[in-house]
Amino acid sequence: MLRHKLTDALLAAGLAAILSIPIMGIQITVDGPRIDLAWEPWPVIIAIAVVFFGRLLRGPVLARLPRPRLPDLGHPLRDNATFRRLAIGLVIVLATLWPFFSARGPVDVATLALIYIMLGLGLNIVVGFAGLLDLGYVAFYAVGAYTYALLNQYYGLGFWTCLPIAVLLAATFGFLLGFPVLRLRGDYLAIVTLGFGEIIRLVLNNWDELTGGPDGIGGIPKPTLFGLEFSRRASEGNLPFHEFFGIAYDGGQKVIFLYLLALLLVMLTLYVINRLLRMPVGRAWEALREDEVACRSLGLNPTTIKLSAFTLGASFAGFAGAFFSARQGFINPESFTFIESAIVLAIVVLGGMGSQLGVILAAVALTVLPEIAREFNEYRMLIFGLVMVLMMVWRPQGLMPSSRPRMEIPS
Amino acid sequence: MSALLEVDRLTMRFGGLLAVDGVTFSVNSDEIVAVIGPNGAGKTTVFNCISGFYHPTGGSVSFNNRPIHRLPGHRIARLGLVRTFQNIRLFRKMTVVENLLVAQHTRVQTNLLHGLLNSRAYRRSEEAALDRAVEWLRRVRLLEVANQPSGTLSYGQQRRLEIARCMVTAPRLLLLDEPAAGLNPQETRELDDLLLELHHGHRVGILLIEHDMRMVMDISHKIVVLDQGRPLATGTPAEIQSDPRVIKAYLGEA
Repeated sequence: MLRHKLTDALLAAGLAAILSIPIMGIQITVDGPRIDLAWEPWPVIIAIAVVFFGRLLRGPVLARLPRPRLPDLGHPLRDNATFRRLAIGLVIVLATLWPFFSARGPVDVATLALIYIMLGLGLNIVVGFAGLLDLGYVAFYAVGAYTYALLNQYYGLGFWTCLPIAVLLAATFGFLLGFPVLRLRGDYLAIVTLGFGEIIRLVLNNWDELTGGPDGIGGIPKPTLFGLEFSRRASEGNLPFHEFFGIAYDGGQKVIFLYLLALLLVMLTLYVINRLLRMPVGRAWEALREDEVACRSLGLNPTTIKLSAFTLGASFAGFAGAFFSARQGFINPESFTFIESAIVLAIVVLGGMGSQLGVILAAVALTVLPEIAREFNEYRMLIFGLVMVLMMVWRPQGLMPSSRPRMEIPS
Repeated sequence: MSALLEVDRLTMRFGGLLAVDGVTFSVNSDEIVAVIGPNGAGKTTVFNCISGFYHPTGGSVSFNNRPIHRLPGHRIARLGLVRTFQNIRLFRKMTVVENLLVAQHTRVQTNLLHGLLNSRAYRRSEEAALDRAVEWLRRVRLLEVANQPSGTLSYGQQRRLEIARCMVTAPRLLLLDEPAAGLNPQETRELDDLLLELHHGHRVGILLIEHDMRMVMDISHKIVVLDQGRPLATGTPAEIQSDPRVIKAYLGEA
């Protein structure tokens, strides 16, 4: 028993040595024109010792560690219809009024969080409800963003025209990718989608004539409010918002408008997804996740059903993408790297697969916390990894594991 | 008039193993037919070939005069040939009534726009589906547990739910793979009654695999005996009971 533990700890210490020697043990020293590699033993020794003893004592320590009991927030919301309606109404009112009393910075961060909520909710359809692991979700986000940017640059189309086009185009890409790959399962599907995400990014990066390559596309106009622009001076033939209402110009108006627009898009997303879940297609997704063979025996075509989840999930990414490019005003392929897919997937897993409230909370946590803890920015990925590991140990089902709304027969 | 289901010289080979070899039989729409045979005789393989989960390597299967042995499983189910499984395959985390709603997927309004806008056609279709589900739950005596996850039901209840789940699709032929396995004698009697009711009241043909000889002899009109993938005998229960080849296959060389 002890011998087994010792071998295990030694093995872990060996791995720690392999990792820490090149990262922490070798320091680059610059001495004038000379660049030298200096050997720095202490950090490596400490790291190896920590891993060795940590691994050795893991069992008893973990056993004595109190398991944090996260409150089960789901039930009052699920079981009490009046309370739920009140709570949702209150949240909407607060979310709408809040930016008017807040500084510009937080509102901007909140807008970013709302974009990630849209992405998380969209990917939740694919991963959480239909059970298909998609690692290339950011590709559809890129399709949405570039749809608006390119259509605006080449044809001068506005945000509101491009939004539905971006949704349709992203959905089309989802459909085209889904068609050949959905016969794959689990890991294989994950690898193919991962590849697809990279292909889209590389195409955008290398098709200089169309997309501007790594230089990206700039000067993407902000959305308008029924034709009113949020700038000091409007483009030709348009009226700025502040002149129309006869108020002073304030850069904050634009920030608040973008926030409210994002909020509206999130609410639309939530509404649509909630309808979908109550519809036959939502039932079919869950059934397919549970037992594909039984589905086939009842006449449900698994490919069509998976394809519908994939296509609908992609369309929400297109939705978020179009808004993203409008908000940023500038996009390039750097915004659509694999790490974005990973973050959105982390939001879904952290929130609890299939749980919409969980996804919203996780999206807020993963976008707002790094902004608050700027001084820890260097350790962001480290903390991120640690949180994921702890989640898998303590609460593998996510913050708020939840299920689809059930259809019940009245007694 | 030709039969509802015709299986003609069906052959299924897995590599070097000939699991089913030249099986021929037919099922009429007013018949209950049983497939029996010792373990490993190829009964379930025959079922898998008929229901499209395997594509047979030889021979043909036609349903309602239409060849179906090249069709995928879900297409065959839509033609009205629906099966159950030896090891029950319910959607265990979904509620009992939802199991029956999923089964009606091909009958309900699945147009996304109708659903998103909650149109009248959509609401009517959902109500009709729920009514059908309730109707069948009453018939198989599962109405009290309608809102429970189906995985929490007792074994006998799960068997009945699986049959009800087939019936809401309005099938013309039901394939039951060992429906009485794991049931106690009383539950088996109830199953007899249920199958006879389906047969007379709803005019479905039934093809079943079963080891419970009492049940097979009581309810089936025709019995097909398989042994090591080959058809051994076909006939009425009385004929089969007195067939020396069948007795030999079941009891070994005497």
